[in-house]
Amino acid sequence: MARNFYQLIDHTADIGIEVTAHTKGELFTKAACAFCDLICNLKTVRPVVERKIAVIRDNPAHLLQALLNELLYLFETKHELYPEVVRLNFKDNGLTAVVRGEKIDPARHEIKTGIKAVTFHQLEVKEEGGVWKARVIFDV
Amino acid sequence: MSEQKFTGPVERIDENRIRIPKSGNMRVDGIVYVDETLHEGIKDDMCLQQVANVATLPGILKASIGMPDIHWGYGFPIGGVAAFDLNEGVVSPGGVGYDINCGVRLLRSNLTKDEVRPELKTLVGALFHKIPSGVGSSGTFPRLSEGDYKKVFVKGAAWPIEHGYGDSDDLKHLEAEGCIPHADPDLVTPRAKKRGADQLGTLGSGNHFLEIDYVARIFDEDIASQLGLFQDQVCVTIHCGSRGLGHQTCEDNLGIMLAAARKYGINLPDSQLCCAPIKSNEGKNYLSAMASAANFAFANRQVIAHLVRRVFSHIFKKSEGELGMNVVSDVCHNIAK
Repeated sequence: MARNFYQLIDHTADIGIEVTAHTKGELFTKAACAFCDLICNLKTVRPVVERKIAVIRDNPAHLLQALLNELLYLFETKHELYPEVVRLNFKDNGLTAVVRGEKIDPARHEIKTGIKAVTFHQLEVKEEGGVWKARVIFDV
Repeated sequence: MSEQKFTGPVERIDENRIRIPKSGNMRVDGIVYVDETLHEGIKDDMCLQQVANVATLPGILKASIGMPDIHWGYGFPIGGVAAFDLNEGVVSPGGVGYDINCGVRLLRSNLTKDEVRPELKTLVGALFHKIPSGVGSSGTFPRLSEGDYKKVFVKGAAWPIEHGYGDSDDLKHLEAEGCIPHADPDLVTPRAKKRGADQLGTLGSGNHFLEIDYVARIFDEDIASQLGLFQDQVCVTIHCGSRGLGHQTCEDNLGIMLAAARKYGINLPDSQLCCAPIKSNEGKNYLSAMASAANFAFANRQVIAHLVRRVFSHIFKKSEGELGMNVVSDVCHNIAK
């Protein structure tokens, strides 16, 4: 994925991303990769571990927040990051995804940002004129 | 995102306070403790809008308040304070914040800066080694079992003291003696416990820190003396909270509160302010889960404080009694009471 696939939001003490895409699936994939890239350089994380994710929420913005929050939970408990979303299926009130990445090794991976939470503050997912846009603010 | 800065009226009350007069859906005024210089510094961010947003919440009393450290947060501004009527008011996990019972503990010592300076490099190295910091750091304290969790959630700072991490005298100098009442361990989710299981005794990342300080200036000799502080004395400041366990407890309850806000017909200017009536089941359950996480944070700072004492004792070859590294204060800043 190109390096400039998301915009950083300037926030006083925290950090955020803005992502645009042609489809909802592409939007969620880009946001998941941006989340990973905020924490650690994407290029250094190999796709050697595969995980299945399923989250349920009743609107697209909350669904994106839940997906990123699940990635954060896996990072904190398994110390793994996933730069590849290999499958993403939207279902009624939810999604399933298959992601690939690896366990973070302090000897090979430099942690750039410590993300503590995916907030609901100014959280947005919308579609305008065929363009999907998302904004997410993280607690760091 | 400067386009979202506050554009409503602001009046100066006096040299140190401004008022955002009640308008629109605001139920009370906003009052922010800033002088001209501090006010200038926050004009371009969103924190004054956030003060106004908090003022719309049901049952808020007197004013939505901003402290002098106010800056842009999410939902509440950082430095935001609000009181709510117990019968009509709401409780908001976003208002308390992700890092439940994030707080600051101050330890004194009998050492002076001249005694400590030659050992500073060794001291900092040993502190880094004993007290892990940074993203996802794991502590040296034994991983918590389900039984341990139940005790730490109910007892707070007293629990590590029972295991040799400090002295019962420490409790007298902690806010609420290191334990918030009405904690219910069963309301903390397995996910939250999994995130916190190896984090007791760790600082974490972001703005959390452990700092070796010295008393540069005494403003009131009498108070300083009562607190055991003196000129050029070395102290240690510890700033941290409930780590991943608190973050997950907040996250778990935000989902519940988003549904609760709809259920109780609460109009939210920002989803992060999602809330429920204090007297509702959702509100009571959150407060009991929050108390559990708050007590975990008190225990975390207790473990860290004791590890600091051990490091100082080892480096300076003095007993903990000789070092006099007693607690001066321990105050939380992300809490609902």
